[in-house]
Order: sequence, then C-alpha cells, then structure tokens
Amino acid sequence: MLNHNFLTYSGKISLRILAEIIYFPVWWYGPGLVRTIKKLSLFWLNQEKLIGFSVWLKNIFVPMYGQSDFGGRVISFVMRFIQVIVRGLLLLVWLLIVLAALIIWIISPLVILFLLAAQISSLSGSI
Amino acid sequence: MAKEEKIIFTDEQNNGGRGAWFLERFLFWGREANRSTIFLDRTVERINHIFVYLTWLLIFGGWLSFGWWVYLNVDSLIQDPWTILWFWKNFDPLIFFFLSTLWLDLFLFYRHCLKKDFSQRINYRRLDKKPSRHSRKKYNIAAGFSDEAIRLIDDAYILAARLKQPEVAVIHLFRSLLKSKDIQNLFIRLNTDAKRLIEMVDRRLVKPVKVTRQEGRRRFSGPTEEIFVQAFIDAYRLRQKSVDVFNLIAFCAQRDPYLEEILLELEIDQDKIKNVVAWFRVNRRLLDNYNNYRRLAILKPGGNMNRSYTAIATPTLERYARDLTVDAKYGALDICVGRDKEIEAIFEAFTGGHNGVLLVGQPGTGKSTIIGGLAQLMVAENVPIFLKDKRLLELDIPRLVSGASASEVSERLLICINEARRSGNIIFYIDNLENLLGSSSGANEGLNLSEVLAEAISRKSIFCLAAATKENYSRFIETEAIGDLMTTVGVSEPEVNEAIQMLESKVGFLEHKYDIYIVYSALEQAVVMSKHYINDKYLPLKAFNLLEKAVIGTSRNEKDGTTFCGGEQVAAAVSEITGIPLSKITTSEREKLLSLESEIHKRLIGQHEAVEAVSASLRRARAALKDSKRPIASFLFLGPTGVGKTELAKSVSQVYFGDEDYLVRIDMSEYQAADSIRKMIGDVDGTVGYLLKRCAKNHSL
Repeated sequence: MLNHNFLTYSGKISLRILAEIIYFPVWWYGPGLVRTIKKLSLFWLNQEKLIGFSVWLKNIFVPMYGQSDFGGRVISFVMRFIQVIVRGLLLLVWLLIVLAALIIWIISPLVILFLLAAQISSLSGSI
Repeated sequence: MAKEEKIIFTDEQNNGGRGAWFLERFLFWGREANRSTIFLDRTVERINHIFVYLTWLLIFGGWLSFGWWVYLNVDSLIQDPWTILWFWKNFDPLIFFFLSTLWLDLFLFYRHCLKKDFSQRINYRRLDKKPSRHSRKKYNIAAGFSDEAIRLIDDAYILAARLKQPEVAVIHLFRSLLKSKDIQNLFIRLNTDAKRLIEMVDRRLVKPVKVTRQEGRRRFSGPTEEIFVQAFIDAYRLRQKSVDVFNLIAFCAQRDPYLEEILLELEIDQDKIKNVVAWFRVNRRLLDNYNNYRRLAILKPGGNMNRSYTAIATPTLERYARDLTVDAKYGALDICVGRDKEIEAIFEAFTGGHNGVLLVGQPGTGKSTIIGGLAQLMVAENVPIFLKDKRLLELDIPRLVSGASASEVSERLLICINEARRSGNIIFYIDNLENLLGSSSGANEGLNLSEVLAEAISRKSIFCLAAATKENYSRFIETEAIGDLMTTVGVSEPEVNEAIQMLESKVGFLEHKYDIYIVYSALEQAVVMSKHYINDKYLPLKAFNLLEKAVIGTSRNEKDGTTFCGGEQVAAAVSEITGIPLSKITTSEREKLLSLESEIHKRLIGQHEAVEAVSASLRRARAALKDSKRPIASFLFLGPTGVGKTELAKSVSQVYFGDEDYLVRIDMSEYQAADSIRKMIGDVDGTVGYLLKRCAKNHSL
C-alpha cells in the first residue's frame, strides 16, 4: 500500500517537473510575453507621469502663471510648445528603451539557439 | 457578497470528508496526505532548493568562463575591439559553456515569474461567478493555502503519526501552528507565556484524542477539516491572495473545547485572538499602502506650482499659511485610519456644489487627522478630479491677526483669498473657525473676518475646509452667515473597536519612541478605561494620551526590568489620573471591601442598617455588577440632626475614595429660590454649575 502510493506519487511529481520544463518555451512566447508587455507598458506610463508630457500637452493653450493677457498667452504658448517637444523627445527615448527590452525578450532564446548552433557547426566544420 | 451567510458543515459523499456549501459550491479539503507523499513533497522541495543554488552557480560559472575567454584573447581584442562581437564564430569550450548557461538564466527567470504569479492562490474569478449547471460544483480549497500553511498542516499530520494517533486533531494543528513566526509574534502581543502554552498543549498531546471517524488510514478529523473550510472562507471574505496561518489560528480555539480551556487559563479568548490578527493585518495593509504612497508622492510638486504651471506665485499665502500637501508629501502627517466615511462626505459636499465644508466634532475626535488624511489622498492623487493637482493650505489665524489693526487683518485675508482665487490650485483649511469671528484687534474697530470669507465662498471663488468643536459651533458659528454657507460634516467619537484600530496604527510610533513593547491588552484597556473613567475628553485622543502616559510610566520603571506595557500599566495610569483604585483587585483592597462595615465603624458608631446598605452597594459596584451609566447607588438618609447622616457620607468617602474631599456637599438651603438651579447645573450661556464641575472630573460621592 505504502509502496504503491509512493510510486504513483513520485510518478506524478516527475511528470510535474517534466511539464514545467516543456512549458518553458510555451510560456516564454505566450503568457510570459503578455506579462512582459504589461510590465513594460506600465513602466512607460509611469515615466510619462513623471515627465508630465500629457499635462503639458493638455494645457498648451492655457497661459502659465495666470498671465492671461495677450503677451503672456503668446509667451506661455511658445514656452509650453518647447516643453512639449523636449518632454516628448524624452518620452520617445523611454519608448525606444522599452521597445528594445521587448525585442531582447523576443529574440534572446532564438539568438542563444543560433549562437549555439554556430558553435556546433564550426566544431563539426573544424573536424 | 454573501457576507452573513451561515456556514453549515456536511459530510462529503465520496470519501466522507467534511465540507460546507458556500457561494453555491461545495468547499472541501482535497489534499491527500500520508507520510510518503509528505516525504516526497519535502524531498522535491529540497531538491528544488539545491537546483536553484546549482543554477546560480552554473550561471556564475558561465560568465566566469566568458571572462576567462576574454582574458585569453585579450591581445587580439585590444588590436581590434570589434572582434568581440564575433566571439561565437569559432568553437571554444569556454564560449560553448557560457552560451549553454545562458539558457539557465532564462529558465531561472521563468521559474521566478511563475512562482510570483502563483502567489495568487484563491481563484476569485471562478468563485465570484455563479456556477452554471454544467460546471463543477466542488471546490478543493487545499489549492488556496499558502506554502507556509500547507507545510504546517503537513507537520500536524506528521506529529499525529508520530504519536500514533488515529486522526489529526485540532490540537495537533494548533501545536504545529505554534512553530510559525507569525503565530509566535501573535502570542507575544497577547502577552502570553509561550513556554507555558507549549507545555500545556504538549501535555494534552499525549492523551489519545476522541476519534470522530472509524477508518483504516489516518486522516484529518472532522473539526480540523471544518477549520480549513472556515479559514478559507475567512480569507475569501478578506480578499487575501491565499489562506495563511492567521486564518487558521482564529478558528482553532472554537473547535476544541480543551484548547479553549487552555487559552482561557492564559486569559486569551476568541475575541482577543481575532483583534490581534486584525491588528497584524492592519499593520501589513498600512505598510503596503505606505510603500505605494511613497511611490506616488514623488510625482507631487513640492513647491507652490502645480504640474501644469497655471498657478501664480503666492507670497502672502506663503507667509500666513502652512502647506499641508507638502507636509504630507514628506511624510510629516499622521496616518488617518477608519475615517473613510467622513472623507467621503467631504468629497460629496464639494462635488455637490458646496464650496465650504465645516467639520464639527468634539475636541480630540480627530478632525485635524481627517484633514491630514485628505492631504495624503491629495498627494497620492486619489481624489475626485477637482481636487487633483491642488494644494491644501492651512490658514494660520493667529499669525494673520497678530500685530495688525482690524482693517489690516481683513486686507491680509483679502489678499490671501485673491491669491488663492487667481492661482486656482488652492484649497483652504481653517482650524478653529470661531477664531475668525469677532476678531478685532483694535477696540473700536469691530470687524468680523468671517464675513470676508463667507463672501468669497458664496461667490464660489475658493474652496474652504474648516473645523470647529461642537460647542463653539452652536455658540458662535451657527448663527453667522458663514455657518449657513458651510456644509457641516459631523465627526463623531469612534466606537471602541474603531478606536482600538486607530490606536493600533500609532503603536509603532510609541514603541519606537520609548523603546517599550506594547501588548494588546494595553490598547484594549486604554480605550475601554478612558471611555469609562475620563469623562471630560474624547476618544481616540484620550485613549492615546492614556496609553502614552502608561508607556512613559513603564519606561520609567524600565530599570526594574519591565519592558512590556500591558493592561495593568494602563490601569495604573488611569488610577494616577483619576485617583480611583483600578488595578486588579489587590488583596488589600479586597480586604478593605470585605470589611467595609468595620472600617466605617471605626469612625462611626451605630447606624448598622445604613452602613450595611452602603457597603453592600459598594461591593456590588466593584464587582462590576452595576449599570455603568447610572450612579453606583443613591441613598436618602433620614433622621434628626446629629445622628450621623453626614458623618456616614464622610466616612464612606474617606474609606473608599481615600479622602473626605471626594464628597460633594450641597446644602439645599442655598438652593431654595427657583433660579438657583442654574447655580447647580449651569446655565445656557455656558456657565458651568457647581455640581457639574465637581462631577465631570472625578468619581465623587
């Protein structure tokens, strides 16, 4: 009884471990990819909040420092325009970084595979 | 959600385990346990650990071999650094090893993510949905338990097996739960002698448990499985990620009468355990909230400018007001607990088109703390849209009125209001609003500043929050224009449990400041006793002050070795403040009470009937059998002059309260006119009467 139980349970556990290894590539391009995209976009949105790009864009025609006369409006529009451009560029840099991270996620298993294949082929070539 | 649903346990059809219907599903404990599976699980876990260490080692080795390769080829790399990009071109064992271990990097990351995602054990998506006719109605709760809980449950199984018990009873579960660090902390907070508790439980373990089921293999007893189900439902209601040890411990005592007895002997009951568990959870939630808050606070501007730069410079306001949002950003304000309703009412009033909100409540009920809580919400931008990206400024009235004539003061206030209006990102807060009324510095110039404020509010040019005590509101504010304009939000005194929760959030601060460990009974007693015995102040402040006094007292006695502040220390502090004997009935007091008659007769001869009646009622009061809202007793002594009516009263005061001075003596011949009642109980204009004045402070005779 005990032995039987032991055997079936250890069989179950080995299956579980095997499944975990097989699931690895599936996860990487399935749930794992989704998870990464979610995390990265959250990160980027946080950067947006920190930079305040949307706040500046939304208020682009609103005079700064309560200066609602004509001159004030013109100056603040120019100022805000410059701010929007600079902040937008900063945000773009972050976007590129985030995209780069995503691309690294997608290609890294393939790259490793390719490099290993190159190693092996060069080994067989040299033999 | 089925919050009040009663749980009825039944037997499961297939294998006879216990379970219960909850949310139209049958919850049952479906984890198979026997020694071999537990052994295998633990072995796998151990192998897992070894695997992780080994992986780290290999990863390290991989990078090391890459470094070694660079070192070997350093000459050619210096000549042409770009060749490092072609490191993979030619076969090299070092490079091959390095590339192979890169897989392990990815694999380890994959395992880490899986584990992190797997911490959400309770499947709310499935449980919250009504089961359709075809879906499975049985729900195995074992999958919802945390790793630690499962490990301790397995330990309980092993313990029962080692003791050759036919069933895993509640006592086994309880004993293995005591191994958990969290549970140990819980009993420390309850000021329990852990050694004694373990001894008592161990003694019980030796005795064979009552078998609830006759079966070949060992399994969990009915009550134990019921605890699992209850713990699961508890965790579900609290929306926890998984069932943890606290959920389990809360129900153990209920299910085993002997265990209940043990705990009662150590002065622990079900409620105490539940309250301390709640305390731990509140602390954890506060910590989570705080971390989240700090992350959000980075975004809040620290100066007078808002994020969209539409605000203007406000030099006058900087002088006469304090920026609460900046204080909140840097964590200088107290945490606000259990006042969601009041804050919600403030939001509602503002969104309902009222520009002025007045908090009215007794002093010490936490009006300023609510405002602090609001400031923190504003920092986290967790507020309705019109409060987003705004500053909360507390107007400093004493500074505003100091050293200026009335007209100058009103000018200052007007400038402040004007700055706020033009800046558009400012919400005012005025504590003690009554200070604005009738503030006239010069004797001849009587100007009511509240009119200036009232006008600004009525024109909806500013948002204004204010606070006042109940008494001042009805005396000064209610009849003024400003009183009409402002929506009042009542801040009531919290109930006992709420007050305990509020205190719990402050314990960390007190413990840190005085280096004293505060146990649960201290909190409970601080709230209960201050509610009973300190009548001229209000919760939660009076409980906090009392607790602090007790803590200071304890820290002073620290040299004697006491670093715990418990209920007795709080009782001593109450006793010190009020002069009433409160510490647990000590022998001397008990003797005094039992021999009250003879004590009184030391001063008074005769009058046995009266003395006995008075003594009996005092004993009754001390045994807490009286109604706490009524006087301990009322007597009418009748008799001719000189037989000892006054003397009896005096002796009781002397014997029981310790001094004759606790006697409030009222000579009714002074109160013969109809209007002299005012002299006794006070007048509408606020004069406090003689009787009230004496009674409010102390227990008196």
